[in-house]
Amino acid sequence: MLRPFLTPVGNPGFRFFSDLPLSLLFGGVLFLIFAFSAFLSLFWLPYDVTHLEISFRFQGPSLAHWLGTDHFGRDILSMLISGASVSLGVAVFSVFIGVMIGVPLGLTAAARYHCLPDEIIMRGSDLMLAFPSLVSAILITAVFGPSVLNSIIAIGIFNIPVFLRLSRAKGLHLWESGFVKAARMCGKGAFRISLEHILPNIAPFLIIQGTLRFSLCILGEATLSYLGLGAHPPLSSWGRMLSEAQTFITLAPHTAFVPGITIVLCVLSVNLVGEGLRELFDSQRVRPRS
Amino acid sequence: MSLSVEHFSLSIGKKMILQDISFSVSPGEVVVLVGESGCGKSMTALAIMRLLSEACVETGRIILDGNDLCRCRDPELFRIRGRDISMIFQEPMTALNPLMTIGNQVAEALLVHCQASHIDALHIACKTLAEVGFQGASDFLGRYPHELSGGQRQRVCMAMAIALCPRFLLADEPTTALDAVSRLHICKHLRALSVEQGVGILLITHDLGFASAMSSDQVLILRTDGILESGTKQSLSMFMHHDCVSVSADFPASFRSSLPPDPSLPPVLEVRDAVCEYVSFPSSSLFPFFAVKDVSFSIRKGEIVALVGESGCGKSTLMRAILGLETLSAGSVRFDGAPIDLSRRKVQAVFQDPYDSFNPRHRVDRLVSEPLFLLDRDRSLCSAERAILVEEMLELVGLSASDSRKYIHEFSGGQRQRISIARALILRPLLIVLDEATSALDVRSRSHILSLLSRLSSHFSMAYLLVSHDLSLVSEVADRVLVMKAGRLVEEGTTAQLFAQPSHPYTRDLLDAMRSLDRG
Amino acid sequence: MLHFFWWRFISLLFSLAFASIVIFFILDTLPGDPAAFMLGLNATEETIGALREKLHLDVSAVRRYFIWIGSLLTGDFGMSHTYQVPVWELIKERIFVSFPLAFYALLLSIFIGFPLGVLAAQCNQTFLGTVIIGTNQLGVSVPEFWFAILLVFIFSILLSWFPSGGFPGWSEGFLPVMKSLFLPAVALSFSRLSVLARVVRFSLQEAMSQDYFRTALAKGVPRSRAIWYHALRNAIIPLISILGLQFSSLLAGAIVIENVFFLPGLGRLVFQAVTQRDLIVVRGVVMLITFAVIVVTFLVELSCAALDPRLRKRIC
Repeated sequence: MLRPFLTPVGNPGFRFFSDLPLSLLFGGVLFLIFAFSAFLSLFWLPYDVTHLEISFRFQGPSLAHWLGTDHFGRDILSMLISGASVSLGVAVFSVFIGVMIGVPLGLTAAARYHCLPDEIIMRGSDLMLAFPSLVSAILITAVFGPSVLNSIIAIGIFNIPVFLRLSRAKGLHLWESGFVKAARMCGKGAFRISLEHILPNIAPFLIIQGTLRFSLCILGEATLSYLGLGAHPPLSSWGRMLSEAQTFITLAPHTAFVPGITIVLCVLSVNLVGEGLRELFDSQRVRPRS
Repeated sequence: MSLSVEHFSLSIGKKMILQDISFSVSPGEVVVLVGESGCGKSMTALAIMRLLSEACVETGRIILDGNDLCRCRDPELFRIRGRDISMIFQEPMTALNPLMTIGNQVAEALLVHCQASHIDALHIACKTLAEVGFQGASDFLGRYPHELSGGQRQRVCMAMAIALCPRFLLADEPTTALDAVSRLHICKHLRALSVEQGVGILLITHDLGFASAMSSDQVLILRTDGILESGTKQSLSMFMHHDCVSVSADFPASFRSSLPPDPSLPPVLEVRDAVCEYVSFPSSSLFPFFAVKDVSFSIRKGEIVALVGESGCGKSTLMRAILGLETLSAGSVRFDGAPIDLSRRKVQAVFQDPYDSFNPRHRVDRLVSEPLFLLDRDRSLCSAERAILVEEMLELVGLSASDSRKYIHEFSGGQRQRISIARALILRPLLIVLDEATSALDVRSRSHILSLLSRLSSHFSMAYLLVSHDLSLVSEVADRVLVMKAGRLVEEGTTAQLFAQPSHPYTRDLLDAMRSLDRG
Repeated sequence: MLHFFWWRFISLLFSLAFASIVIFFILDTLPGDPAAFMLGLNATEETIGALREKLHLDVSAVRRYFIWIGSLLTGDFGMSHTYQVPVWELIKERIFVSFPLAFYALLLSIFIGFPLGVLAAQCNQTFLGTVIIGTNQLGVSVPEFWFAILLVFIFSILLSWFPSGGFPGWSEGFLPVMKSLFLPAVALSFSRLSVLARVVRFSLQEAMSQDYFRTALAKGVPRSRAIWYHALRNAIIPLISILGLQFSSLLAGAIVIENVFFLPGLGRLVFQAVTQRDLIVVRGVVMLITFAVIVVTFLVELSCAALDPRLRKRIC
């Protein structure tokens, strides 16, 4: 059974920073940098990313352009910063879709285990998993046209069965526990029990899964925009920067390296946070019986 | 030629588990190691087997035939384990590999140690299984662990441990998970091993009846601070009666209700022709499995009724049906004449496992006051009234009012069961169902909980329905006993009558097993 | 076991039927008139009418579904609108690229990921273990297509060890094909082998902390044998499900890699068909891939049941 996470009062010997797992600290700081620059890009950018200056194309890193310029002479750093807001925004909302739809469905299935609602929900989620996700995402964005909203939907839909299955599996386990039995004996209904007893206790698992899915969504957004199905100009996106740079890779390798490394760092930071959170929750989970 | 532990200390992190313990086991000798739960008994056995995790820091020596096991390298240990020393583990349900047939699992020790051919090894495995009491052992060779009952699995574990006739056997609570009949079996067999084959046995247990039944030569008592005290058989009974307190010693005579309940009063609980069937789709839908079949009984005000039976006999299902957690396929359960939906306030329960009975995210006051949800809206209490009620309940069960702001993980198992009782009491129900409420506790907290329950029962004149497989407890406590087997009630009677003259053969078996363990 | 087989087989048929219904109706009822959608904006009334007839849009949707299913069962996937060749011809060509590629990548990820996971499970807390875990962490963080671009840049452009793309065709012989598929397979397998190694590590550590592992050691079974016979056999069951999922995701998930390496595979076919709005091709390929996924899931379930006697019992 999980302890209340982020320790409640009275647990001795928990000092906040020194007890945090290293991966959580490192990943967290890195991710905050990304999040901050995404936020910053909404108000200010070093250079205007829609302004083309062909004469400055393929410049290497310099004081004026820290990471150099691309084939249209645009500042790569500015494009990366503005791409961060698209990437993180798409990832946040598509995880949000998965959680908001998947978790309630999963809790319902757990509460009605082996009854009709459970069967319907589970067969539906099985079917969703059987569809090749990338093909369907391409289908959605191709049919409805490439845009940020459509890529959020295309990526988010495939988060639904993930959160659904997780919350159902963990929920089922809790429905067997003594405290749920006690709550049922107090006449509480399935909805109330799910909200009061199940959801708070599966939250740590949802948070860990959420971070892991978040990193996959960043990759998914990059893939879609690499294929030209993501955010379209004037918005810049990391995936499209790479697909454009691919053509000029022999001329200016840095235009392909820098965005790629940015994606890797961003995804890595989120993964490290997830790994760190898992460690943190595990360390607070103590086996009662020796 | 003996196995001896000399000045052995063990710590994990900053916590000392064992402090400078020394003892030895000679061939043919039975040494009993007792102690409360969590005092490091199992650690001692694992240390001898060299199976502790790497986080443990140890000093001292463990000597077998002049060899210090602490200094042995892995290949040497592989030769010693299973052949010279072997071990029976506590939990038979998880100790066997679920993917291997039991024949192969027993034979594996022979394959590894003797370079026997596979067929020979299976042959010996079959013989060993027959020795530990499998009738028709050859049929069992190809079965998987999940097809066996707990008692059968424990016997498989035992067969695995003795297949190579080891000189020393470490038995770590080999009977805790078992019913009386299988316990007796294991106990007899262990005794036979030490007497006939001269196996030195270190028996770890907190089951004092079992310990005394093993007629041990030497008794070791491990205290919670990790210090070992030694004694003889006499000191075991001293330990039983003074230190840990057996169930009966501290038991107030007033527990059993003094007057026979008035038969003219309407019953608190009335179960009539209850049937619970499980239909498992798809294949066995033609043959539904009846967990409970045609059960009828009633409980009157202030009565203490015990429901006994082996695990899997349907007593938990029946209990869940009574509590309204399971729907009946047929029949009815009524409280004061009303169905459960209208009378939830009149029945509460205390569950077996004190560690999962509480939502770890709520404070004690919220946990204890949860049943107040059942009050009608117009009668609901304001928060100050709730707080007073919660404090009153906590004090009633022997905790302090200041505990109400704590989280549940700050309490021990015994304290948690008290909180459970406080939660059950807050609405002053007519009936409390105790589902093995004391079986997860050590002897001391068990007796405290039982005396608390007896005090409360006389105070509020509540009825108890006690679901248990511990017959000695039942004989001390209950007014009336219901015996259940394979989903049916096979016998019902007052405790005195049933224990004196059991009519059903199954009840007789249960009682025989219990008595021969108690007698030793 | 036979009972189990039939029960799963019936369930397989149901899933197939259900999947075909969903695929058909999603693509059939999508935005308005499929014929107008496929022909784009500047189509005349006549051509739309002709296409409508070809797509049987004049009969009811349910009948259309049965016509489609009927022709599927005889192996007729319909006629591609843009290529004007039977869809099956297109698919047949691509399958001989996609299937070997998926298989290649799967083999790579098994033969590298599995030992890495086993190794990492045993050298927990050591330098080697940390390195493996770190590499895996990197593996799941790298975008597939970027890794592919890097591979092309290093091994084709700088070192020219491997061709940078294209597919020579099976007529050229086995070795050139393997050579041209090597970089795509590596690019595909990097993230997958990391996932695999991670799962192996977790489930092996889980199995090694179980009571039965301790029991085996207490019997005097040497550690290596205990890991091989007891822990791995238990750890391999979740692994098979992961492999099943990976194989099916490889069949179609190679779209991006096929794009980078200009490989004529199924993924690229469906991608082009989607951008050219050739719904007939899309429907055929998606159905085929879903079919493959469902069959692989079926095989996975069978092999799990063959390994784990408890599963056999629980389901039937």
